[in-house]
Amino acid sequence: MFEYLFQALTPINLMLAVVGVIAGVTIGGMPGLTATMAVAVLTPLTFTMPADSALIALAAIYMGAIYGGCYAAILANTPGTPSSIATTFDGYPMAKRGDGQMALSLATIASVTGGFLSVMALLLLAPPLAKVALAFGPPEYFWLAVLGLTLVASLSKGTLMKGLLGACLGLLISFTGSAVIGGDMRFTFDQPALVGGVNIIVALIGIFCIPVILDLVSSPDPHLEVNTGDKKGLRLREAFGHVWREKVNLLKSSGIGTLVGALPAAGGSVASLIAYSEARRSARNADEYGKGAPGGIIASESANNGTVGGGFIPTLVLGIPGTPPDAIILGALLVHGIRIGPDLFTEHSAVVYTFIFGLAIATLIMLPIGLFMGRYAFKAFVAIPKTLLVPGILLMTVLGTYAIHSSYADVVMMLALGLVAWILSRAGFAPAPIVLGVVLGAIAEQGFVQAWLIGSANNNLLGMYFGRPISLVIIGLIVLGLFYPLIMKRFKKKLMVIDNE
Amino acid sequence: MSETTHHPSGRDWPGLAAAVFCIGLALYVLKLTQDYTTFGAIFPRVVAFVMIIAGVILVARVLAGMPRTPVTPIQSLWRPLVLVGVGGLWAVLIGWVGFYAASVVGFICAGLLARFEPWTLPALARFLAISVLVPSIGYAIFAFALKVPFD
Repeated sequence: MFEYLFQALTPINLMLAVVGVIAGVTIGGMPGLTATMAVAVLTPLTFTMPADSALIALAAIYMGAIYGGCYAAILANTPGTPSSIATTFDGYPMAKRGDGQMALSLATIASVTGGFLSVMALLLLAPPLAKVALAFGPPEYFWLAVLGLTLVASLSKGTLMKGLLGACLGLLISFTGSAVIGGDMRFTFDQPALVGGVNIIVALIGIFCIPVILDLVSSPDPHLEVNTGDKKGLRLREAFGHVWREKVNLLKSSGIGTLVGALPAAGGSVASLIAYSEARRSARNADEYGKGAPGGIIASESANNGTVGGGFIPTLVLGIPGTPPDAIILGALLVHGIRIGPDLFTEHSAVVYTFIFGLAIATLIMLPIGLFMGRYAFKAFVAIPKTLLVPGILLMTVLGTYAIHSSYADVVMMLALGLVAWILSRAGFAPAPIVLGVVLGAIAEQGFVQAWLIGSANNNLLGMYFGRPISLVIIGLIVLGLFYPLIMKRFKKKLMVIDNE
Repeated sequence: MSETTHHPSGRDWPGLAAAVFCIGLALYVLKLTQDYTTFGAIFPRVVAFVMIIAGVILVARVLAGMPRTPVTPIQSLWRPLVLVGVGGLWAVLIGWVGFYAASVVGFICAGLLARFEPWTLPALARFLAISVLVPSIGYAIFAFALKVPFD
């Protein structure tokens, strides 16, 4: 197998990995430009390359873009990609109090570790993990989406009911346009612009970015604090110290990311939320989560980069793409004449193993590149005056939205959603549940309706939703996610009473 | 963004208003779904019912004395409201004068709104130069490197 490692280490493959990571981080760091877009835009450039080099370049772009999403999440409270939604919970509070560079260091180390471990899982455990993915049917996907929504509702600022209402609003937005099953035209109000539905990225940009911009202009205060003395700079030693103390969290979150990534369509947003929730549940300093806890960033970032390697498992073994960028890379594989399936690892072992080693190398390269780019991204972000920052972010949101379909209507929709999200934020509604509702709407509805159809046909509707082992485990996690904060509150009250006595 | 969180006193009346809005929206969804097939209507109805239940619980909690959720304080309300207008103007101008020109105008208006200190002539000149440069770079990247069709 070492010959494949050496093949991945050739100068051209190394150069492609470096360029791919830089391009991915740059694109993923801009709100509105997602990992899918980064991979899609740059795929044609790889058609003339040898198959292994093309795959390394695309995978490096993908890994870099997922990581790059943390920059905007930490510095501007606007996730660069949906995978970074959970990173805003602790990343932005850290940046606000002056620890922005430290937050970026933590995110970089966690992303590299999560990404690397997921690639190792791809190398060593691909076939058995692919079987796990096959065990998920429609009801499991429905409950998985519900789990993501309840977790984000209970983890976001504000009350649980506001989080749930926000998630439901997001789901309603996702219903606009053609129904996923049956094809009904719903909630379009005879407007042609709504026939295609509300694009996820349009909703993400509008709901996250516009309220941030409106809050920015409402106050003359500086947008970020900057620490001085020994609390400035990347603070690598301190960051590694935090990561070492959070090693169990890091390993667990990377595992969650890999597993969730292996489930087709589940994606980095669900993975990072599950990992974040689990990290907070098991943390001794659970009260600090949401206020700038290093463990929150470590959980979210290791999990979302963990989905990259995890997503390639069903893609390469079963030919079922785990995430949208995987689908594009799958297409690139077909262009290079490589047939996907269980025999891929034997028939095209040279290409596949060179690609996996190349992906591992690209992930490791991300550490110095990420730390270097993070340092300058932070300095630039802090140095820009509001007079340029506000129109700069607004320009990015308008450009990013327009670029999706070259549609003027998308820009109007983005602004309208942003205005509604800002008004709701004044009433204490967090943006994360609304956006996740839009992201998971199609998965939840497809799973729910398919399960309902199968259950009705078998005359066993309840059994279809509540009688399958994996579904029951996920339902248990949903109940735990909903009631855990309440249980902990009561437990702490009891402890305080005992202490006082 | 460097706000200190504001802890307003009193009951969460904005939360109550939002809950009532959500209940109303859910009822409207239930009405609309009567025209859809079962496949298209079943899941929106489930979500609408969950919304009504969550909304009623939130209303009950507010009436029982739930305090307001801490929010970012607003020091100048007219600026965000005018910025919403700038966003609208930007969107309208795209259709009239094209993406690039609309972006330059929108950039300038948004930048003028975001400045709290008085303008000096050199600062204004620098700002106007940057306002032309930044949209030009953005437009060039998207139009020529990413091949986004703009007109």
